Amino acid sequence: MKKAVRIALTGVLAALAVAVGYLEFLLPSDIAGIPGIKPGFANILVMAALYLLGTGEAAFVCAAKITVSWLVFGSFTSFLYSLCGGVLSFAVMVLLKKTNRFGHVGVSVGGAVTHNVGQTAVAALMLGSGYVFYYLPVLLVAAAVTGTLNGLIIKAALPPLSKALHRTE
Amino acid sequence: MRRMKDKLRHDLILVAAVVLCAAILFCVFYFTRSEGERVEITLNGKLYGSYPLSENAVVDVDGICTVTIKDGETFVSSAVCRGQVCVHHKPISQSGESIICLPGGVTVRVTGKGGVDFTV
Repeated sequence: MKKAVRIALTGVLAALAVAVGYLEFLLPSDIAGIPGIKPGFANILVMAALYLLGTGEAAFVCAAKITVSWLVFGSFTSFLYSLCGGVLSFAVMVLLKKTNRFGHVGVSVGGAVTHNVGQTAVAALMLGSGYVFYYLPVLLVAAAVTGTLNGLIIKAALPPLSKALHRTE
Repeated sequence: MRRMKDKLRHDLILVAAVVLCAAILFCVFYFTRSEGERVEITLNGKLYGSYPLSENAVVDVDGICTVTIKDGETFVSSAVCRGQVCVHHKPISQSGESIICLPGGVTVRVTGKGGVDFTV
């Protein structure tokens, strides 16, 4: 892949990740009656970068999403939460992919679970009490559902995307 | 092809493990609970106030949110934050249950004899 294509694609994926994150921010935060649960569709873009480009590009998409969201529509608190969740889930997704033992769904679920567990841990630290862990069962099930959904979406989206990329050669 | 089947199996095991963990945690929390006795409100990790669950009361927490205690249950009746996650939370009454307002740094917790103790 030409360097210009790589750079352009990284930028497009990062911009899309911010846009998707903003759409989720506008949606009511209690989808299906469960407060605080989000589908995390922006992770589809991070995973697209991870599979099509590489770890470095995916890290950029993830970092750009978190930073730009903070500057444009987030608060410092929300930035801290998404930073911790983002760094943890990104590291786990890279590791799971490296083992070459998990498919897209496995990588996505692993990322979603660590994202939620990481944010719960930050909440426990910031609030100075561990009672947020009572919410963990709900968050784990939510991560299994949203992670599977996102994994299936990326699995379906990757082949046509890489086909289109090969045409640019 | 064999590789792909293995990956699918590993994915399924991972998802099943996550759901199993959630179920185990839920059971632990569910079976150790009991009727609560007091309502403890903390603001940024510090105790703001403690109130008996049996007496009806309306508590204003530093202008951030209002906690209502009514008929042995407690809930956040209003909050100034954007998300309103805590306001939509169902009323709580069991020992160990809590409602948390992340942006405001407020936790409302029912205490009593039962429940898993998470005090750090």
